[in-house]
Amino acid sequence: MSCDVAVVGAGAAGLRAATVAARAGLSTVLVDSYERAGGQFYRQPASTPYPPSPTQVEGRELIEAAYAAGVEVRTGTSVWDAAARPDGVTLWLTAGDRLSTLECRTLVVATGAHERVAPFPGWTLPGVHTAGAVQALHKGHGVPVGERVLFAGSGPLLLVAAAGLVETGTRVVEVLEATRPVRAGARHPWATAAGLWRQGERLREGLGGAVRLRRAGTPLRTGWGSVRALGGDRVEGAVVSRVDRDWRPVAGTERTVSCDAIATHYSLVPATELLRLLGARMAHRPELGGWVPTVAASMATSLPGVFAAGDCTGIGGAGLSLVEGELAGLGAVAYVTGREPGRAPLATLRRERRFQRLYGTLFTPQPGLAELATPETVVCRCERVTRATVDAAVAAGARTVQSVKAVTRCGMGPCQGRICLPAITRLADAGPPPEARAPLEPVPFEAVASCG
Amino acid sequence: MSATVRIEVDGREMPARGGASVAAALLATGLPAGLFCGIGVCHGCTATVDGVPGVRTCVTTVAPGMRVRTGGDSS
Repeated sequence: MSCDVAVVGAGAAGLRAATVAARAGLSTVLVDSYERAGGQFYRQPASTPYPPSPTQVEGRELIEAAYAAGVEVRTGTSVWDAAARPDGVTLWLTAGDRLSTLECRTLVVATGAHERVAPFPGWTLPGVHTAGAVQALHKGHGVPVGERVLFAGSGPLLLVAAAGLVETGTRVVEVLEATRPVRAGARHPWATAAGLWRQGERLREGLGGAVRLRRAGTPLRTGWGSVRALGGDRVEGAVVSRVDRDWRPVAGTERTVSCDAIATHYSLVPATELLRLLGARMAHRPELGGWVPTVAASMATSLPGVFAAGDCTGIGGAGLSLVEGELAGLGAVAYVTGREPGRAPLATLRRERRFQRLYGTLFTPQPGLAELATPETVVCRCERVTRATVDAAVAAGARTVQSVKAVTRCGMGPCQGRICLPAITRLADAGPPPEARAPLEPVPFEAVASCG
Repeated sequence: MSATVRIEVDGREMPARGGASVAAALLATGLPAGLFCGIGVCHGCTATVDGVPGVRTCVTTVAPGMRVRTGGDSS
């Protein structure tokens, strides 16, 4: 099977890129590993006990626009291998146990992001989840993760997810945000003012969340963090403390909080596995979330005919993802047809880029985060590798993430390092970007063998 | 909004809300699901579903008669 444009990831950026390409008359295939299009921000639950939110409605409209433009949408389909050739890209796809290949002349990678988590003592206990998981469970399924939930970490999703939970009657004991946004913003007044310019909706959402928490009697503390989870078989509490500017616990401020679930979240990490597998040039940009592809204004990567858009190019949120998706779609059309690219909404792009810079200023993880793990803390959940093992490897000369991985097996389990490697990046030097190898997703061996 | 379906978990039949993810169905009845990230990234919640090992239960929707085997699945 072949097409003009393949788009990987049916979130904000991918939906918009695919729609732009298909409207220009190009044969366009949009691939997504989930059962339904929408990605994380515009997630479309199979069914939900609650009426659809404005965001879900907006997402449905984006999906309907893609179908109306003639995009072939393939959900439940993951890319497990890929190769860039001079005349295009080959994608190897898996849908359950069915394998197929897709040849495309140009590729748009819009794989989004996932939550950053930091290993801390007790984080592998049942009852510790990411804030995103807690939000997805209650929004999509009406299932609360506990009766007294502690939210601790950094980033707007923490506040939004906590506010959503109290609205449905679940008790949130405290929300602890490591950053002090007002203080950090005051250090960069111009960037802050510019970043918030025409962001009324985001400000309203943030303030609205804070008001809902206040009404529910939930303290929202900035400059605080969780230090460790307590409990035997599952979470029974947490030790929390004030944290300084570098997010290091302030001695003497520790106290114990009683809770039966912990939602953790330290902003987001761009999902760049496919770009790294293809060999796109990468740069380490902590303020954008870590390793990101270097992209031109057209969202073209260093590889001919390969574009990238949305959070996988740097955390910026759905608004920026939509504009970047449009740019990448226009770029892909220009690449295939040889025509001049169409006009992009540059004013919106500039506004969203300013917000992205502010987000980076406020929510980039600080060094103290890497120090929460004690020697016996499991760092790699898949392979059960402890901090002591990683430290020993670094002390023995494994300086880069790649060499730590090779020596300790950290990042070699089924999650392919998506959870632990960002944490290892803070324990070792970043070095070159960690290698991504096929299969990107676990593939049944018989299936690979059968395709010869 | 959606009818209840019946699924089989480790040999025991149980109800699940139609449209729920397998992990949500397990958690709703108090069963540990290993759920951590909730978006199919961490593979902490994998189980054998209808004979297929390593299925991420947080991003798989329940279906009537679905057979889920938890534990012993290290994929």
